[in-house]
Amino acid sequence: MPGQPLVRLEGVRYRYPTSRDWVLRGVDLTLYEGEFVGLVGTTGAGKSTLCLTFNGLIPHYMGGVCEGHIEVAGRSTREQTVADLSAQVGLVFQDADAQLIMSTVEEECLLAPLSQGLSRAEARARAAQVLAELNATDLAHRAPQTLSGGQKQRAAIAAVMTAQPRLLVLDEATSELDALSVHRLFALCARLNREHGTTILLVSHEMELLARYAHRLLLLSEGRILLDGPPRAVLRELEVFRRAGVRLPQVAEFAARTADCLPWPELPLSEQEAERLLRAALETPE
Amino acid sequence: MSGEPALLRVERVSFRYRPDGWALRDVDLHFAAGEFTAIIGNNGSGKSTLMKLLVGLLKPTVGRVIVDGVDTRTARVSQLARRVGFIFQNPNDQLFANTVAEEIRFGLRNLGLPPAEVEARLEATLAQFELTAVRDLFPRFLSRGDKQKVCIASVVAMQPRVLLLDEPTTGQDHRDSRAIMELATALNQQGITILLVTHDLNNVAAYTRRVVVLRDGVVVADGPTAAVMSDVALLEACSLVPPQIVRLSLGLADLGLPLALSVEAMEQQTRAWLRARVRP
Repeated sequence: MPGQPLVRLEGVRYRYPTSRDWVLRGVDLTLYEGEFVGLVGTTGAGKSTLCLTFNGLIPHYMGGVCEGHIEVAGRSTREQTVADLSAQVGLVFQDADAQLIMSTVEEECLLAPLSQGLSRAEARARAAQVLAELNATDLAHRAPQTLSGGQKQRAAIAAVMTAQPRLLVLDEATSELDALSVHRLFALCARLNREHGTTILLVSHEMELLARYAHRLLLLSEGRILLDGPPRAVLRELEVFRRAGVRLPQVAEFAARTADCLPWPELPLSEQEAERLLRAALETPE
Repeated sequence: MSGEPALLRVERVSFRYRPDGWALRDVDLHFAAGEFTAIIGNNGSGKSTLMKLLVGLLKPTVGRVIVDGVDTRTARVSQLARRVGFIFQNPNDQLFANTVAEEIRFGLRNLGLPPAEVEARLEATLAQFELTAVRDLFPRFLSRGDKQKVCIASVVAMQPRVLLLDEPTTGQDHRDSRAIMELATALNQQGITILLVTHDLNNVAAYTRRVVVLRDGVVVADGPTAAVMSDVALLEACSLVPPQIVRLSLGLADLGLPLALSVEAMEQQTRAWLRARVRP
């Protein structure tokens, strides 16, 4: 069950210093403690920009014009520093290379706890614990540049998780990974969400996996949230998705396209559900 | 099949970057003119190495690669470039000119074409790819999708017989990804052989006709798209996951529904199945 509001945006508009166009055009959004939220939209819809508002990089570092109210854990982000906010909100980017700067994965994982004032021994204990939870203990003494794409992504998540954020934001962290690594990353997020109560916001084009794992889906288009709700409700809006340039999960699209000839009692979110519903419908005599 | 040799021949090729490990081992593949083929496999399976061998950027350690009758070990890169066009995964690795038009002219001039021919092909290419409106813009300022289109246009202008696309849809949203796949399909229908390296099995299933699967540098499957996509055990053993609609279609095979490789095909087949059922 979702808990207290963790992030709250009201009427947020934003444009970058180099542009006259608003990238966010009036976003109202509340993320609740314990949610697993999927964020979808085309390139240029404003997904990454929205992610930067959660940890204060907008407005503190990016400049530009930011209007409206942004609150994390009950306080305006304008009154908090990015360092303070990093303990609440962890951000993992598409390009893990951009995030990994130290000579070993363990050093990477010590940065956040040391900057939070832990002793080196305490920091090492926390890093070891996080790496163990991510099945990444074997990566601890590896140099980031020697890792595969999936391993780098795990190292980047580990480094972010050592700050013990309440919200973990992954901005297209799956796009360079092969299929199995993508499945593993979704399963890992689900586990962090379930076992640690970490709130997850996952930006991805992997519609089939979002439908399966997310409790809530947001469709962003041209800086506005067009749809916001449980996947089964949101994914009914075939036309809205089509106009926004985002595809549905394949079985949801199939159900939408055959709604005139098949009595779908509800929208299927997985192939197993689709098969069960279809079998029931097809095996019923005319 | 005629007796004509295949357009691309990879003959018993092994390749290693370092003395201590093979990136490709004993790969034997032929690609005929007009194919639209996907090369799939996990990260590190050897897909990109195979692509680089086909354009002559790498030379086989063992065996040989014959491109349109030319052995890549002895050919000049310019000889190969007019036969095989290579589209990089990241358009920023490919784009360097100050305008879209200059980007397209560059390859044409390198072919040694007379100026009038360069201009004629430029205009035809701009029109074909609907890039006339952006011809004087700085390519790097275009959207990701349009950058990709400029890359493909600048290569297609050189009229290659084969187009190699390395992960063209990675990191692209659905709209751009679909546009690229439809462009590749149109070019294939015009007679250009397409080889596509990709992680996106939805696109592989929906658009290609043949699939080659690599694992640890070895070809583990090679066949019609439908046959490879429905071999779930094989794909999973290669850390690959068949498209959701294929998995649904396989699950319903006992009802007499034929295999569907795309949502559109699944819809058509379901409608046909329902029509057949109501008839006496």
